Amino acid sequence: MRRWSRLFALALATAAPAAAEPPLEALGADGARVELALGADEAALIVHFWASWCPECVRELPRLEGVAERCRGSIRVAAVNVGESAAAAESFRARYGLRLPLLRDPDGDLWRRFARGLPANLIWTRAGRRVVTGPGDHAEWDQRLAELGCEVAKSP
Amino acid sequence: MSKPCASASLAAVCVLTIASFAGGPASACSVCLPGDPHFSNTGASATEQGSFSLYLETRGYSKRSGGLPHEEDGVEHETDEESRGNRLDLYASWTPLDRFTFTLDVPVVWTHIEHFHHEERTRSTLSGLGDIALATSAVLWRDRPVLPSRWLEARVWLKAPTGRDDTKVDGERDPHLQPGTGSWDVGVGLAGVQRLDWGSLYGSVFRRWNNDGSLDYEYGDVWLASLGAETPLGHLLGRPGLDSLVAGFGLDFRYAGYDEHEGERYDDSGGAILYAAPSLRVKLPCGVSEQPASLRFAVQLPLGQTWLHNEQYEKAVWSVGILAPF
Repeated sequence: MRRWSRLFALALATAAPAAAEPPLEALGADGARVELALGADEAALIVHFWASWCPECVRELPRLEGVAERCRGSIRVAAVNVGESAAAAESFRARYGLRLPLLRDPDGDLWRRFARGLPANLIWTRAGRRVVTGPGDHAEWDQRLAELGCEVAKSP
Repeated sequence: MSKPCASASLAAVCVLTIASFAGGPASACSVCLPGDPHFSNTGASATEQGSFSLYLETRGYSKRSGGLPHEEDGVEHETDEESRGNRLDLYASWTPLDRFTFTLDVPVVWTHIEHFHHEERTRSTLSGLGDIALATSAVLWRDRPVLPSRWLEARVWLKAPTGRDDTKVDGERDPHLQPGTGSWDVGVGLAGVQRLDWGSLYGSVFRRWNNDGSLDYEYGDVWLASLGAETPLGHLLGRPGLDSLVAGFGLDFRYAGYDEHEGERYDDSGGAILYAAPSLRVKLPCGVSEQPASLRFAVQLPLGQTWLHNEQYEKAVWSVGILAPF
């Protein structure tokens, strides 16, 4: 029942305008709360939920870093580690040379609001929010980003 | 429903339907199946509280062995028998409490046995509801409460004799032919999972105790053990376009004691066998909720028959299933 009520709530949320969305919060590297919100000039916010044991996340994170760099100003990307310690998440970032700021959801509260498995991407646009469960098809990603006004290099 | 989603759903239904009928009718020896059904079929069960999943699988196998003594005109004959089996199992899993998952398995079984006696062949077929089983798993230990990457779980399994069928076929009741074992059986097991950044590893051990069935036939007690690994093909081959394909490889071991029929040991039963178990999981572009459904193809290939007792020969076991988590 809880699951269905959550889905219902999500359906209501996706129908509502972005301005009415409740704030999304994660922890920053210093442990302070960071609000994830769609900036006034931004077309979209992509929240990527990940964990160090998720092979698809290993592939998707560098790609999303590319999106963050190429689409700076129009699309914002936030990579949120779910459930792991700061040390474990930081070690993973160092191993794969990731540059996106470390954000964490240690208790999984934010992740549970939108997703069930990993990887999961929450895409928040002016039209509403949509959860895309990975692995995202790369052609589909390119198309989606193009629709949001950002052309990215084609996947190899 | 999006176009790719509708196409994928249609394709999945077609594959399952074709697979269900391709093998023809078959046999019911539920203890003959190798591997841990919960890990090889439905994946790890340490799911989030409130999760549900449905897994529909069709499976086929065949085995040749010395048959049970066959009575004709009051005279007992030694026979050989070849049994073929097809099962359609619906597994429904639910995690109502943190750490606890319940899985109900409802099988429909088609059985077909051919007896050979000199030049003579007789064929018998029976089908119906198999033995319904309920498994409970409890996560004993995990490295963290949210999305654990490593955990150990215990299983308790109970099978009801719902597949009992005492119908006489060609004047005889054949315990190998009935859709279940006709007995209440129990099992316990341990399983562990390690998730890594390239895939996941799992291992499990399961012990099953069988009781005397309705036709005075008792299957031997069974040990099952499985070791396996799974990785997305995109990761393995460095091809991002293949991320929706997950390749698996496992080793499934089974040891069973001798069966007993009317208190007598049935010599052509039991023993040990090891299977290589490659599999391929295809993540579909849609699901019931946020999680995508997946289609799974697997085969279990016997790596030798020499450890089976006496006269027995088992062929490959194949399966096709669709998993829908929600």
